[in-house]
Amino acid sequence: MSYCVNCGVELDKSAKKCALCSTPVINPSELERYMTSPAPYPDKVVLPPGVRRRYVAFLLSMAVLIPNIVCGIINFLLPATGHWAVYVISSSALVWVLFIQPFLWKKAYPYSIIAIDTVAAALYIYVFYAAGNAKGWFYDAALPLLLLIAAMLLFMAYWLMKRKRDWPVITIALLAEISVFSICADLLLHMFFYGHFAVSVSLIITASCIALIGFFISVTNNKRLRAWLGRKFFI
Amino acid sequence: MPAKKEHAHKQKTWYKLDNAAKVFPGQNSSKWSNIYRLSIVLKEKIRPELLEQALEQTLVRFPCFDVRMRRGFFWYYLEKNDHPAPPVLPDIQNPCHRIRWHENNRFLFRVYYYEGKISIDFYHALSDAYGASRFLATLAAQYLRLLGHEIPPGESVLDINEPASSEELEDSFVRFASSKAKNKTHNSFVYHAKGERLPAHTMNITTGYIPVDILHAKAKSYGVTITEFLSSVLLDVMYHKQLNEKRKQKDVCVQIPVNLRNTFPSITLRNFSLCYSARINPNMGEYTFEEILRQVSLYLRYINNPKELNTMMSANLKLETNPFMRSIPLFLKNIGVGLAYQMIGEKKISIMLSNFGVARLPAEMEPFVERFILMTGPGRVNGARWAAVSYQNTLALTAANIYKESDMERELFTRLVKMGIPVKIESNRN
Repeated sequence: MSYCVNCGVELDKSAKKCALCSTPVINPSELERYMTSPAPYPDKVVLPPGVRRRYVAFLLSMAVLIPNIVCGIINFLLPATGHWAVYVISSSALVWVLFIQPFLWKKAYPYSIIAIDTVAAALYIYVFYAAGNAKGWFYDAALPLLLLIAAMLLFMAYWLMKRKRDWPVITIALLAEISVFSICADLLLHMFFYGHFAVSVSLIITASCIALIGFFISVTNNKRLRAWLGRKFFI
Repeated sequence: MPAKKEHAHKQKTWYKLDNAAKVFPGQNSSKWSNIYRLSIVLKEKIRPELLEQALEQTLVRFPCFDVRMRRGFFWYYLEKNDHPAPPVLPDIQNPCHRIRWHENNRFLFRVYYYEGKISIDFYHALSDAYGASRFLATLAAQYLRLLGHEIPPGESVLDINEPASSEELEDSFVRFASSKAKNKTHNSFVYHAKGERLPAHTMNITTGYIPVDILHAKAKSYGVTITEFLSSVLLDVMYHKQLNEKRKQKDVCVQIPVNLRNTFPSITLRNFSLCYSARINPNMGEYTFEEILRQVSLYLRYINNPKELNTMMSANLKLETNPFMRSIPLFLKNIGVGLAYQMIGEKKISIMLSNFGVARLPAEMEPFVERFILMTGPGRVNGARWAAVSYQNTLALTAANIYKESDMERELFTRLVKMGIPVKIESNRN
């Protein structure tokens, strides 16, 4: 029998180290014993299968598809009521692309998903643009803002996949993106409505973001504060 | 064929979930279910084909285990399972993982074998450790009979030729809960030891084998029982861990399940246990180990009486029988139970220690059995949950821990060693 020199507990015959403190317990004169004694537990780890994601996504797709087909048929049979089914179907299609379609993929491809989502959102907005009377807002404001969001998401995906990031650093990056987006949106919207570049509300958002970024930079440098936040806000 | 026709018209046997079991399905998540494991270690290697045969024969005697979970509109219920038995599987390193109704031939327990060990992971909605011990002992006895040994029924081994009695299948909470008094509960959130989480569905298991006579003598020297002694050591370990963390001090609380069959004359094989919790408040001042021992033992002795237990039992039953609660559809109940468990379920207890007591077998069976091991699955928040079972002169104290750190286990076992109680350790960390 072997005892752990550190903990004083007796160890199992097959143990090569103490289970409590990891101190090695190899006895050179009893090497055969480690080879022949069965371990108290097998090495095999069996992980239970996860949720059948793709199957659930397929069922949800069907559930979304059926009412849309019904709406399309009713609208086709009653043309005098207008083209209301276009709005229902395009809204459902956007919801499907944003929330259900990503789960139909065998493996997650973030860049492709962001690209598909951007195209879907652009088409959805274009439906309303084409149906309305106002001119120019799609190309001058909506599309550039949408492309800006897509570019930011792509950058975030690339940055996060490159290596594992700490949560305060992720928060800082998110806050920086929010302030950049608010400034760009402000400039674009001023240009669209008043014909010149200017910033207003985005200054308040950016100032708040900079204050929060300062706080999170101090969090990354202060271990005690980080530990306290980790304890308080763990999910 | 009239016989077949008659069979087709026969109503399926079904059971309501007992009062304690009602919350367990709602607590299920994709990563966690309330599962515990009871193992019996025989002196010879297990032959799986014989174990499978023994399992089929044993299940007939235990209709409350031969069931599957079904959804009603208002409640879950248990229905006779059409499969003869669950598969007998080679053991794994990560037992007690989550349950799904359609897996495992739809049975609510999983049977494993490894070397001489037969282990069963029971879903808690089926039974508590008392019913589980009867099932496992009867299964092991039947297995030994198939090997050619003469094992008579007695103690934990039930006679498989007798039908199950109605008392064994009853919900004893309904029979015995009669108190009209209000139950007092503590509502404060308590301290939890934290660490780095292991990947989902995995855990560190550490079992310490302790000689019962030495442990009993030590507990006796303090004037307490083994459960009171072990609970106090655990509380003391947690109390010092929190002190060393230099944080705002919260209550430290150990939850201890109690077998109500010791107080009420029931022989049910389904759940019939309650939990009470002993606590210390570090803000009241410094505690010595002796003070913790005194507090725990006095509290447990005060609370462990039929009237207090009846009041706790009745409060739980009132929730179930409340007309408003009954009329809520099951999916809403599930959401409510799941949220309540996530938000407050484990936050009121720091740690759990379940001491089954002594497992007894017929004298003819004892030479073939080395030991019993009881293990509760780890909690969602509580890093380690502890369980103990004694057989002959060995108490097996097992911790199932979801955190990488094993400082709690180390502190507890080394403290016992320092008190002069020898401990032998085995673990799934090789």
